[in-house]
Amino acid sequence: MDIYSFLVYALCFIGLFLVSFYSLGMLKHYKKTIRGPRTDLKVSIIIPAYNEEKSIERTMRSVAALEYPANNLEIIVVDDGSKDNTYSIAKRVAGEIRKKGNSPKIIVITKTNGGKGSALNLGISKSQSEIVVTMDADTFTRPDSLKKMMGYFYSPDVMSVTPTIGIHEPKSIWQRIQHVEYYVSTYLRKSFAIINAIHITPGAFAAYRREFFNKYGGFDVGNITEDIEVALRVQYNHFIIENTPSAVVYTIAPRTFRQFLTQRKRWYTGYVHNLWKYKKLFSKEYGAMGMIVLPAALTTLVMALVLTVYSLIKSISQIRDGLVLLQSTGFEFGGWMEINQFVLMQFLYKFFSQPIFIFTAMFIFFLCMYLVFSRKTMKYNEGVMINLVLFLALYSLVYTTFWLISLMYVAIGRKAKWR
Amino acid sequence: MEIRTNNPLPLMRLLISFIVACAVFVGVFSFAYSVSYLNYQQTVYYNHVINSSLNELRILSSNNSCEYEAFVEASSLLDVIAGRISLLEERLGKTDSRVLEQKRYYSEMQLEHLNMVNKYNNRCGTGFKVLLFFYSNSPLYESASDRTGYILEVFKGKYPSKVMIYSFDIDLKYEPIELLKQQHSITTVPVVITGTGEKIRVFNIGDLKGSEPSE
Repeated sequence: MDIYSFLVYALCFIGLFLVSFYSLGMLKHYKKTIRGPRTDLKVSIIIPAYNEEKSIERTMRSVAALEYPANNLEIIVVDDGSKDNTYSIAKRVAGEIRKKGNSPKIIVITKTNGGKGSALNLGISKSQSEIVVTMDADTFTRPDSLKKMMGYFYSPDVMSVTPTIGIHEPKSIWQRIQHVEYYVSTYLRKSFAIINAIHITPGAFAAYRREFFNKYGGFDVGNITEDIEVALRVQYNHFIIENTPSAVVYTIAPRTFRQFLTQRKRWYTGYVHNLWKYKKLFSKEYGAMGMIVLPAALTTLVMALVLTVYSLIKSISQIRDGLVLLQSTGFEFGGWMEINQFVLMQFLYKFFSQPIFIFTAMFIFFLCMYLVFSRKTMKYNEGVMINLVLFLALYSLVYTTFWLISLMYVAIGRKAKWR
Repeated sequence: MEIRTNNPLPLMRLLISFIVACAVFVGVFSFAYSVSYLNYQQTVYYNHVINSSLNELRILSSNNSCEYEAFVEASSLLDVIAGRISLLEERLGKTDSRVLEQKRYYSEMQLEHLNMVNKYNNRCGTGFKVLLFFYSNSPLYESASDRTGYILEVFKGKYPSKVMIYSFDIDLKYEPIELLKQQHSITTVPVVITGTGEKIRVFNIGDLKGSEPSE
């Protein structure tokens, strides 16, 4: 067995182990972890915005429509020195919402541009509530999401609660790929929550106890992934991050490849920097997260990168050899393409006698099961087949490319930008 | 705020997951091996099918028949066996004793078919274009042998009922092949012997121009 085959089968084994581990946790504990909604907690929703004139209105209106007592809800929009009409639109929408009556308290403030972290911290300083929810200005929620999430603050140990994030109306190839990726994340996030191993609280929408910021400080202003940093900080201090799979919020995924790359460069470089900052999390002290989830994430990432690059090079070489062969026959196939019983049997034997194909089929099956879980949990009915095909065809290449670029950025000390 | 939560490692779940992963992993490899073995069994079965076909050819030959369909059918079956043996080589290994046994039996059937085709050609005037292909799986010659083999496969595909191609592994320790090698003075591979006894090297389909059957 060559080193390539060894790595492939090692990765398959690790994958099988992780799937079993997470699935056993879900099977045993999922139903026990379901909590009912609650509306007695006072909540401030902070929406930092920078040049979001196209989406801020929808975001604000979705929050105003939340099924949550108006006297327990406060909306704070922080315009981070936008150069477009974000601030004026936010003020207009706030006025309209106030006029409706029985509306939550709504504040719109503006500041000089200082980054998302600084905008969030300003919002937190203006809030009086015990729960603070951070929300992106291009995100919108289902009306019942907030009260469902509040039900998961069942213990003082629970310092943060995350929802399920879905991609709104994916249209481009890249949005469709992310659509499936987010479905997979829905399952994984819940399985991580069961073992208290969530290590990313999505910036799109996440709830925190305000007292955490009082004691441990606000969002890290200089950090390009302040959502990852705060999640790791919560875990580092031995608190719990919960997940409410049935609380759904929608975000707009990057539409073009360039936008996608910009986002992922920021995410992945931020992930690496923050994991290095909190490297003490890789220990027995942090249970399954420290001993299984984080090490497995890094190990499988490195192996997947190596194998994808090697496979790509090998495929290019095989395609080149194939073209040379075809050229030698004048691009004639003779009866080569004739489909008959013997050819079909040969194909079946070839496929099923090769373990890697069986493992591939198995992991595709697991992926489909994750999608079924996520769609059922999110009550999503739109079609997903074409997105799944695009995901299977392109995700590993896209993922590898983004990670290699991000690691290069980390290696040369170059900072990834927001836009 | 000073509450701290413990995160004990779920050891039992880890153990069960490990056992499940091992079981599935071994199961997949066992299944894949079983499929390879099934392929081997099917190959052995097809040998009997070809033997029946060759029996039919022996009867036709003894009756001096010029009916050619039976030869074409037997040749197709031999091609199927060749494909199966190729797959067995990939899965079980080229030096596996079962694979070598099947290759020897396959070579024996090819030689019998070749003899009957030569007699048919002499008896019936018009006949099949015969090509003998000598190859090797050793690292030095494998790539070139694969290329020539592919070209011959395409060539046969163009003229399935007019061309007969017989492939012989020169590394197979089998006396009839050794005799054939000596008969045609084979010193290097891959090489193709045409119906006229000419030795040619085939690296693209144009090299077989002279071996195309007449319409």
